[in-house]
Formats: sequence, structure tokens, C-alpha cells
Amino acid sequence: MSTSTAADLSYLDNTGTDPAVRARLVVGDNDFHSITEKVCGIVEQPRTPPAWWVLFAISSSLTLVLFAMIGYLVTTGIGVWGLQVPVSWGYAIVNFVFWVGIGHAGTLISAILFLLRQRWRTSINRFAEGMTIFAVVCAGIFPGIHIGRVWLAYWLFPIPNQMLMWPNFRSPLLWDVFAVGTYATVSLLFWYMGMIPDLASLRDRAKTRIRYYAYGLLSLGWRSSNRHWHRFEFAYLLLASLATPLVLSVHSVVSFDFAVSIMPGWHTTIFPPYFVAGAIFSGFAMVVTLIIPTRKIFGLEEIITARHLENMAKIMLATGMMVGLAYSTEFFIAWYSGNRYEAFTFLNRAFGPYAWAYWTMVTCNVVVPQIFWSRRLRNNPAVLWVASILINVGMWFERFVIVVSSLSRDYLPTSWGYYRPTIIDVLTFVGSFGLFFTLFLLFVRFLPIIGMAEVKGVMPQAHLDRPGHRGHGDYHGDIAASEVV
Amino acid sequence: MMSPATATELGIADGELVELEAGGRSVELPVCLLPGQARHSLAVALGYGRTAAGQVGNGVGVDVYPLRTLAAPHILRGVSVRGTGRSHALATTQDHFAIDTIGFAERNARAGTLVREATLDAYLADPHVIHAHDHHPPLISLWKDHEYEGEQWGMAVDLNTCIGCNACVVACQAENNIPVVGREQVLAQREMHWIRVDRYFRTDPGLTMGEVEDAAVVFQPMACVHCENAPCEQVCPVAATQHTRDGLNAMVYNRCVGTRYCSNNCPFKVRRFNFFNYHKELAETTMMQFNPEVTVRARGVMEKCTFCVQRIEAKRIAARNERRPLRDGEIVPACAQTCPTRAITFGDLNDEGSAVSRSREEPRSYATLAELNIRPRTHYLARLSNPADGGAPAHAEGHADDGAHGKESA
Amino acid sequence: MNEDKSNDIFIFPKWTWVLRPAVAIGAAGGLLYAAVVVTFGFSPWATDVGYAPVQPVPYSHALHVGQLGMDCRYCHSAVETTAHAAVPPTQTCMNCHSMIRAASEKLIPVRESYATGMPVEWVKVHDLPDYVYFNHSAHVRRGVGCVSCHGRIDTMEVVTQVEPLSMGWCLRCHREPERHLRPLEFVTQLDWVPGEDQLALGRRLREQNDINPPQDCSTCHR
Repeated sequence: MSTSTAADLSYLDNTGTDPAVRARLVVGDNDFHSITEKVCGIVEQPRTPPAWWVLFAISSSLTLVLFAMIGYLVTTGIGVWGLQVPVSWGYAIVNFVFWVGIGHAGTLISAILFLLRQRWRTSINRFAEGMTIFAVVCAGIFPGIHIGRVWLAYWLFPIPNQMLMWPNFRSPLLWDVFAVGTYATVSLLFWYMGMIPDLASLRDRAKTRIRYYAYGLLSLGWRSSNRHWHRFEFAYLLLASLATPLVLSVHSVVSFDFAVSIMPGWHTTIFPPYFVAGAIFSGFAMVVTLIIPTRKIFGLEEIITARHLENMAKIMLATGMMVGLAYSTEFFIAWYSGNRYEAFTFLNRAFGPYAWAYWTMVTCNVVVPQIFWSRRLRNNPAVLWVASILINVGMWFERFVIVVSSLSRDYLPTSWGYYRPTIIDVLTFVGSFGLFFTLFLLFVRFLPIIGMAEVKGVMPQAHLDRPGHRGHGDYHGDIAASEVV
Repeated sequence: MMSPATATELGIADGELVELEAGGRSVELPVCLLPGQARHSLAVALGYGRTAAGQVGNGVGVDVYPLRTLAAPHILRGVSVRGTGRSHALATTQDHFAIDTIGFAERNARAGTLVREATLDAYLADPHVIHAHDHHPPLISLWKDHEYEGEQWGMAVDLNTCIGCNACVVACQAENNIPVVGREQVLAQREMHWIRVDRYFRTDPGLTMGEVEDAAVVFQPMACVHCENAPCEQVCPVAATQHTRDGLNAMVYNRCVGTRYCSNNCPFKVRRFNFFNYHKELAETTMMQFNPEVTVRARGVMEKCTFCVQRIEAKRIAARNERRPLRDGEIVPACAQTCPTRAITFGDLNDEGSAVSRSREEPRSYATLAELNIRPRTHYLARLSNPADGGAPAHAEGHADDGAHGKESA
Repeated sequence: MNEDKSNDIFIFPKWTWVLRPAVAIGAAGGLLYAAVVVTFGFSPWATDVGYAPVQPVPYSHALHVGQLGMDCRYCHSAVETTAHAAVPPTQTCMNCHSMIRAASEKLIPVRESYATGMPVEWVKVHDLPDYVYFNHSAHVRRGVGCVSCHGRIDTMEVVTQVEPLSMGWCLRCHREPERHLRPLEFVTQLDWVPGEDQLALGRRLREQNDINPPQDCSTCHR
């Protein structure tokens, strides 16, 4: 537990750049026990905080709105949305790509950063993985409901049937089904498996029978034995290696929905890397949006430190620049290709009827992250939080621009159109946020939001057997005299 | 109807309600901007705003008889026009003339390659003049070509004889049980026509939208062209649209789950989607009008021109039953059957002697968007004109008016 | 972590050990069960075969075709020329029944229909979905026997559906028509058996009559 007073918060700042000092990943006067107390304490509060109830009431109401909208859609027809010909894909697909993109950060942090030995991931990975699952749940809803005859959605799966018909394996939408399905499965396994030791901690600290049995069942008989740890770590490594290609594949495949078509503005070979960069960008933005209030409310500043936020800001800066590069590359190629349709599509994006969406996107995704060049601004949680929300807005508009503006004006000018979402479109989108936040609030209330076992592994106390090699191996900072256990 | 130039002069926007006044009587009407309407003149249609015309006619449009007098039954002079600032949404199946600047420029630039024209003199000098635009990289496909043993169907549309009368649209609607969706759905750009007549205005270069007064109109009947490399077929996840052994791009309504991906990927945007169950509220007697040989589509499925596959199959089975080959011209799709100028020819491309094969041989023959390597089965025969001055199609200059504010024609 | 080794820790009791294999078997078995139920339970073999609705008139094909030897085409007269085989009008019944068993109680609906001009409302047994366009003439004129789809009608007191009439079932024949082809003169003879191997005969007939059943969607769906 921190012994510092509220007046002196400078110890929380671990964002120093001195190369001689390896930054500490957990600050303050913390040991293994205090970490457990802090993280489990969130779940073990006897009374649910009123603020949680308020937020839950709002988000679950929005979830009901979502389900009402889906019910109305299914009983009435796709016509309740603003879709038409030429713009046959609108909010549903935009939201799908948006949510899948957000669902990228979790597995990236868990898998790729794990394999790259980015130890700072430990404080945020559980959180990001949870967010990933919830985003993928939201994403999964949209392709399902956007088809005209929802009750026949199972035709998208290769199930033997009396018609002797297979799905069309040439179609990118089918690849999508497999890519997103695999990603959701592996993410869920990864998230759950990583949580087992922490669930066992909750089980062991349980004060009520319900908790005792619930966490007992969920922790699958975890005994913390050497053998368990050995197998756990091996399985974790395996899943991380399995998940790594999936991080790249899922949004590449989503981008094929567009890139494989012949529509100007869609038919672009840079889409896979562009989409993956954008997905990581938006995923981190959403992590930041959620984590800043969470760490504030639950007093987790010592575990989710300023340095964690700074690192995420840096990643957003880098991926934001990649996305910006992609925007300019698209424009360059549109001109350089000499293809009249391609050239017009991009001119139309920037100066046509959807110019407002385009410039919103550019402002939020390219201009806003530039403030992260400033050390002072990126280390200011308030600034970071606002910027992350703007980036989320921008990334939603990026998908809107790609999907809608390209479709609205394609080859034959007589078929050009202008898409306007209906109130149903908007409420469905808002409702998906309700579902996302509902799941997130439940997660915060009932599951350990920080991987305690993993955080402890990167604390200095974990390496008492290997003292003193500053800057080497797994050594993560000095143990202050006051912290000696 | 009002020309854009006149509207600019009067400060009236497309779709704005205006008050027409003549001789102390006035009516309020929405404005539709249309190039070709003579400057300072308006055209309004009689026969609307009826009160006893039944479900279809009641309350549609505005009654303009109050303006009509015995003294001026057809042409009314000295009408004053006053914009009201309010507007009315006009349901049209094509974009209104009014559009933003870059869209206007691009549309004008594209029209010439989509709907090809040449003057007679240019054609005589070089019969291949209409192919002057064809510049594209070699067309290579990822997929293996289909092989055809029997017939493979094709269509030719002669733009020289097409008069843009829309009879084909109506014939197709009747033959293929195409729903009539009504004003609100048309405003939402959900009209269901399988064939449409695309219209482009050819305006003088250098004019901005508001300055256009007169324009030549070019048009092109456009239905599914049954691409040989059909972009729609590759993207359907449930294989609901497929190539047949006779080259048709078949649409299987009962397999369609309605992802609408095919429509997105169709460069011609000829696919139509059943956003609602458009047939649900029809009276039983109306339902009995349906063609029993064509599936009535439910909501949530895509539909499009089939080259009247029900007619093809009927004739083919009959010919097979009689153990004889199909004759050229035996199969006639509804559009071709109805066309008053016989602009549409349908037949077997594998038969060198068929009318459609022969029209393919003409130098005027071209395929729209052929540069996408989709290889459409519908070819167009370019339009030839023979203007008096032998040069570019003539535009009458400045209908100098006598200062009267406009005229009305019925 | 979890240094706490107190006895109050949650332990799966011994009896749960049996759950592990049970869950595994249940999951695998459940999947298998679901697959079997869906494949067979939902297939037209289960849902459609055996459909034998009660008709307004207890007309017996077994009597008329089996015993009296009437040809299918006497009543279903359009079968060789049109898509529909044609359910006979009342007049066809009355050709005979104006004299034979003219007072039978069973024939009251027929006589009523004849008197009023309102058709007898027969219940369609072999009913395809509305989006399927089956053409009788195209099959009958190529040598597909009635029996291939309708079974031994000549033995049925009440007409019963014996084949699933599913898309896969149609496609199987369109892929291998030689299994069902017969000489044209025997098309309506329901009890005909080939004098030689059906496959050899079928292949020969296929060659002879140039039979290549299409498998395009638009063949049946328009």
C-alpha cells in the first residue's frame, strides 16, 4: 500500500528518459500483497458503488435499445436503415469494422508484446483483452444482422445440407466469417486462460459461498503448484504464438472485403497493412479511453502508471502516422494510376458531398495524434483522454469514408446517390456502445481487471535471486530500501 | 420545369416551391431544373392534383387548371414566378440535374465514354472512331474462362434507334413481377427497375451548373449486362449468383441471404434489393396479375435482370421436346419484345449468323466499362448523328425572349 | 502468489472427477447427436416422405392404374407437353363415372362438382416450393419414368410421397441421369424393369438421346 500522502504525487511519475535507469513498472510502496489487495479489492467491495449502478443503468438501457432495434429490423426489413442502391452497406458495416478494429489492441498487447518481451504490457493486458472480447462481441452482431434474411445466416457456414450446396469460398465475406470467428475464439481462450491464477486468488480470498464456488469453478482447480505454473506458462506462450498471426490476419481479411472488390476507393492493395495499423491505432485509443477513468476511480495509478499511458500514446502516435501515410498514399496512387474513376473517388472524398466526414477523419486521426510529440501533453492524462476519444471518432469516420463515400459515387454517374442514416441506424450504433459498456462494467465488477500474477512477475521482488545487474535481463529497477520484504 | 440558367437568374433552387401568378390567379408548384427548357420559359403539366382518380391518382401533383383560360389554353404569357423558400422533394429515379461542382464536371467528362456518339462524317472517315477512347492495360483474368458448348446469350442495344421512351422499363416490370415501390422508396433511392434508361446531359464545355440552359440529351438503356467475369459472382458468400452454361449471370432468389455485396461490387448498379416485403399488402386480385413463371421475391433478397430466363427455358424445353435446335429470334425478352424501335436484339453469340452476333461485328459495337475486364454480354451500338453543320451536335443559341416572363405549355 | 495453503481452499471434490470424462463425452456426443438430428431429422427424408393427405374423393390409384390398367396420361394428359402434368378436370372422371358406379356415395363430390362447375379441391401431394420450376414434359420426353419421382403409384390406395424431392435429390439425378433413364415407350409403365443392367442401358440411352441435364441454378430457379 502506498504510504505517500496525496500532496506528493511526484513518485507516480516514472516517465523519465534517463537510459541509465530502467523505469519501474509498478511505482510506489508496493509488494505482492498490496497488489493483490488493490486488484482484488475492486471485486471484493461488499457494496457496489453507486456510480457503478448509475453507469450500469445507462449502459444496460442502451443495450436494450440495441436489442429493440435489432428486433424491429428483423421483423420489418433492412429498409428501416438508410441503405439504398448504390450505398448498400452503411452503418452496420462501418460499425462492424470499427468494433473489430478496437478489438485489436487486446491480443496485440497480450500476444505480440508478450513475444517481444515488452514487460510493460502486464498492467494493461487483462484490461485490453477484456475490451477486445467485448468489442468483438459488438462487432459480431453487425454482420449477422445486416443480411437481408437473418434466419438463413447459417448458410454462410460450410455445413453439409440437403441442397448439396457449399458456400462460395471465393467470397471475402466468407473469409471474414472464418477470420473473425477464429479471432474471437482464440482471444476468448487467451483471456480466460490468463485469468485462471487470478481467479484462484479471488477464490482463496472469497468471503461468501457464492463467490467461493463461482471463482472455484472458474479457476479450474488451480493450485499454484510448480507443475501448474510450468504448464500455464507453456500454454500461454503457445496461445501467444497462435494469436500473433491472428492479430494481423483478422483485419487484413476484413480489409479484403473492400480490397477484393472492383469499386474505386476499395480496390486498393495497401488496405491490409493500412487496416491493421488503423485497428491498432483505434484499439489503443479505446484502451486509453477506458483505462484513464478506471485507474482514477479505483486508485490504480501505481500499477497502471504514467509510463504505461505514455507508451500507449507513443504507439498511437506511430500508428496514427501510418494511417496518415496510408491516406496520402491512396491519394498519390489515385493520381499516379491515371485511372479516371480512382482519381475521382478521392477527389470526391475530399471535396464532394462527404467532405465533412473526410476532414473529420483527417483531423482526428492525423492532426490530433501530433500533440503526442510533446512530452508534456502526452503525459497529461486529461489531454490524452480527450485525444483518445477524438481518435475513436476519427477511426469511426475513417470506416464511414471508406464504405459510404466510395459507394455513393462509383462508375455510372446516373447511379450516384447520397446515403443518410435513419434514426434506427444511429440508435443501433449507440446501442452497441451500451452493450460494450455493459459487458465492460460487469467485467470491472466481477473479474480481476489487472493480471496480478503477471504484474508481480515484473516487480523487483520477483527477481531477488538475480540481484544487481542494472540494465540486464529481466531486472526491472531497484528495490527501494523501504520495500525490502 | 425550368432551365438551370433561368433558375439562377431568378434565384430559385431545384425542388423549391414557387408561386406562379398570371391574371390574378396563382398556383404553387415545385421546380424541377432541366436543361433544354427554353430560357425564361416554364413547362407545367396539366392533369395532376386530381380528386376523384382513385388510389393511384388522388392528391398527386398540383392542379394547374386555374391558370388556364380560354384566351390562352396552351401558352400563357406574362407569368410571374416567385420563390417561396420552401422546398418539396421530387421523387425521380435519377439524380436531379442539380449536383455539386466536382460531380457535375466528372459526370460530363464521363458521359462521352459511357454513351458513345459520333457524327456521320467522323464515322465515315473512320468507322472505328468510337473506339478512340479505348485505352487500358491488357485485360487478364485471375479465373479460367468459361467454356460454352451450346448457346451463349448476348444482347445488343442500338443507341441509334433507341428513343428513350421507357417502354422496356414497363414491359420488364410487368413480365418479371417487379414491385412498384412508391414515392417514399423512390426518394430513398430504392426503385426496383431491372432496366432503366440512363440519361446524361451533354452541356457545352466550360459552363458551370447554373449557367446551363440548353443541352443535348444522350441516353442508354441499362440492365444487367451479364458480365462474363461478373464481379457480383465472386463476392457472394452463399453462391446465390452464378454463371450458367449458356453464359447467363443467374440470380437465385431462394439462395440469397441478402448481404448486398453483389450490388456494391456491380459497376453498373443494376442490382435491386427488396428492402421490405413489397408484395405484402397487395390485394389478392393484384397478386393474381403476377407472372407465374417468375418467382415473387420476398424481402431481404437481391434481384436483377435475368435476360428473361423464364422465356429462354420455356423456348428451349419446347425446342428440345420437338427435337430441333432453337431458331435465332425465337427467344425474345420482354424489353426487346416491347421496344417500338427494335433497338434491342437478343440471341446466341455462339451462332455466327445470329442477329446479335452480326451486330457485334459492327464497328459501332462497344461495351460499357469494358476496361474493367468484366466482358459484358450486352453490347451497345454507338449513336451516329448527322447534324446540319456536320460538326459537333448543334446547340441553338440564346432563345432570345421578348421580355415576357415565361410561357406555359400543356 | 497463492501462498495461502489453508484448508478452506476450494477443491473440486472427488466425485467431480467423473465429470471430466462426462463433460468430454457429453460435448462430443452432443455434437454428434446434434449433427445426426439436423442431418436426418430436418432433412426432407424425414419431414416430407410419407406425406399422404386425405383427398376430398377417396380416389384409388391402385384400383384405376394397378387393377384396371389405365395409363397415367389418360388423366394427366398434359404431362408430355407442358410443365404441369395437369390434375384432371371433373369431366375426365365423368367420362366413365356417368355410367359406372354412377350412384356411388364416394363420388358425391365429383357429381356435385360436375353439376356446379366448381372443381374438386384435390390436395397437392408432390408440392415443390414456389421458387422451383419443374417441367414434366422436359423429363417425360427424355425418358425419365414417372416412377422415379412418384414411386409405385399403381399400388397406392392413397397417394403418398415416397421421395424427398429435395434439391440434393434432384441434383443427384441431374448428375447421374443414367440411373433413371428408360426407353420412351416405358415412361409411364410403373412396374417396368430393365432387361439388362440399368447403368449400361442408361448410358446408352443418354448417348442416343443426347441427354445432358443442366445443373445451373436457373434450370429450376427463375
